[in-house]
Amino acid sequence: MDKIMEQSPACGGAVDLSATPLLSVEDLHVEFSAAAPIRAVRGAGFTVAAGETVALVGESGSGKSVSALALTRLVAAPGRITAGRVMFDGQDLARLPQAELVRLRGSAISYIFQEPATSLNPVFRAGYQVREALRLHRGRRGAGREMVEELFRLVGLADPRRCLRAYPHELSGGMQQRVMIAMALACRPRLLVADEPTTALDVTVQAQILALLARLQRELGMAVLLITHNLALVADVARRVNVMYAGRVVEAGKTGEVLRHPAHPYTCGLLAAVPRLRGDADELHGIPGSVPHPAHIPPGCSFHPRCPRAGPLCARVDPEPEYFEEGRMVRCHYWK
Amino acid sequence: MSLLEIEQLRVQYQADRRMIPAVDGVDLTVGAAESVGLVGESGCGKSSLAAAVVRLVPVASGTVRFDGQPLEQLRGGALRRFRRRVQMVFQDPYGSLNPRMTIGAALEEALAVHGLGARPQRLERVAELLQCTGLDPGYAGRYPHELSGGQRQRVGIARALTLRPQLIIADEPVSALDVSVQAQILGLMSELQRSAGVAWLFIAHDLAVVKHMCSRVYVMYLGRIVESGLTTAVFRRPAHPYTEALAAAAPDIDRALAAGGAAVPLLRGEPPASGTLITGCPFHPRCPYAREICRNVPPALENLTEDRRCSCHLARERWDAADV
Repeated sequence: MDKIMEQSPACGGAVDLSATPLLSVEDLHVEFSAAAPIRAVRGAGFTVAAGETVALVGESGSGKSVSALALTRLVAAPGRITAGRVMFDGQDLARLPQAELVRLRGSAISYIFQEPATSLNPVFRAGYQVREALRLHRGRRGAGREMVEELFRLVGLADPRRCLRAYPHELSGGMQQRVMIAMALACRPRLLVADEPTTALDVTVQAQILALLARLQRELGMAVLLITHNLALVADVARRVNVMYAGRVVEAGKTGEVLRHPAHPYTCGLLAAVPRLRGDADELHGIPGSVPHPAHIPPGCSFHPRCPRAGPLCARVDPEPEYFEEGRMVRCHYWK
Repeated sequence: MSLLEIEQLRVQYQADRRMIPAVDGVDLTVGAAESVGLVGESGCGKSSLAAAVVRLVPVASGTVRFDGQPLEQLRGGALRRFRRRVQMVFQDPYGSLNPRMTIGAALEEALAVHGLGARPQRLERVAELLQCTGLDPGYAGRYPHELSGGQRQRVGIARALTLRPQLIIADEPVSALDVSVQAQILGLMSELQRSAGVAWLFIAHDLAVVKHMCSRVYVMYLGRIVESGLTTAVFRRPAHPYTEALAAAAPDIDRALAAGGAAVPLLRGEPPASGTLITGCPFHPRCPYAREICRNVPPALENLTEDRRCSCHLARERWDAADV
């Protein structure tokens, strides 16, 4: 476990790449039953090694959040996993008995979401809500007030005593997200799933929360799966990236390599659409059209109606994943 | 003379029997067919400023002049004529479109209210508006829920264009959109500036978007302008510690790939709620460079160079030191 294979300042953690990954999602399918079935996730696959930060990046409707929720079967009915495996620590979470899965949620895998205000219960004090998480997993003895205070200190809440007694509305957005992180970390999870954790925050606060996550990850050796629409955030914090489009991963690899030399036309398009603060490249290029609705995924390659490189093959044949270099994957007929 | 001239504008709201200043003495100008950015964190007063310009909230003191004419004197017909010339676009196009009105009806309404044209001419104008915002004229018969987010924002812009305004105030117009669509909308806005001579006051929290869209920028903190200047110059070499912190905190692909360095949180804490009484410089409790004078004396907004204004006691010293 302690073997350090690679130290990356950007992701902040020691990553053991030799072992089997901590999390391995294989050919995951999630459907919401409706008149026409809504196929939100259509064969997504990705891995996260112990202690590693991996990003799932995509636009709204790409299936990234549904994939994240499906890891611990949190997708609400009428949504359900219709195929695929979610291997975590040697067990398939897609088939684990419910009682065992509930034990894993919050203790081995925990989540933080975009809107901390809606994740916290407005009528209970912050301290109580974090203690509740501890009580659920460790019983009454494991949930002392001192322990929560210690957690609040760990996540950088300035006045932990006061925060224990505060109601969510008495805390700012950044402080609420710190409370959520404290709750998520209460049972020392091995994987933290962070779904747009900073999207609702101002950039100065976002930078603080990201620095906090990087420090905690280093200190606690936990893996992070970051779900975001923001490529700049991915460049900042993730060691590897999976680009999602219409319910599957269309490109994957080390962050630096994918962003420097994107292979999939969708990744290229996203990069050309992001306004840059530095540098003089000033021409922005949008991608024509918009992300398809999951009930109306185009046949063949799902990106072909928006793709500048699309050929006759693309409208008919769905491209298979191709692997090249070290750990790179792309789904495109014409990526070369 | 600029198209829009704001001088010492103050906007306040009442809370608990006391007045909270949301905009606290702001000077700002927008020239004809110019695109000007206004950036700052949530709660800094940027949206209140916009609302005061179009008289959606009352002005406590100060003057707003449009085309040389002070707005506070406008009443009745004159006020209605002013409203034709200045329009707004909001962040959430869904929230600002009536769900029970077709797109065509929503676009036509403004023409009808202002008594412009007979029905056939109005319908013609609606079709023209849809076309010039990149929408098929067939969308006139559709309802807002049938459109994607990007299409709705195109409708929001089309509606703002209905009366051929000279100035459009856009409050976070692209922050709810996906990046591939955001680029389309920004392209449309620039195109309208060139072809229709529309001036934009562009309110946003995303510095990169502002840099792309605007030639000049104002940086706002706690109801005041702390720095202003040419956009590229301001972001390349910020003079105010707050601007510097904003730029350092913004995640950036080029910086991350070049240095492997993540965004740096230079600031501790969060902006205090407006109305918090702070002596001296309002930024000093969060400023990494604050000195004794900053705690006691509020700095004035002064010219640092010809185009650059900054309100910071240390700005001159830091500027000259960095020059060497």
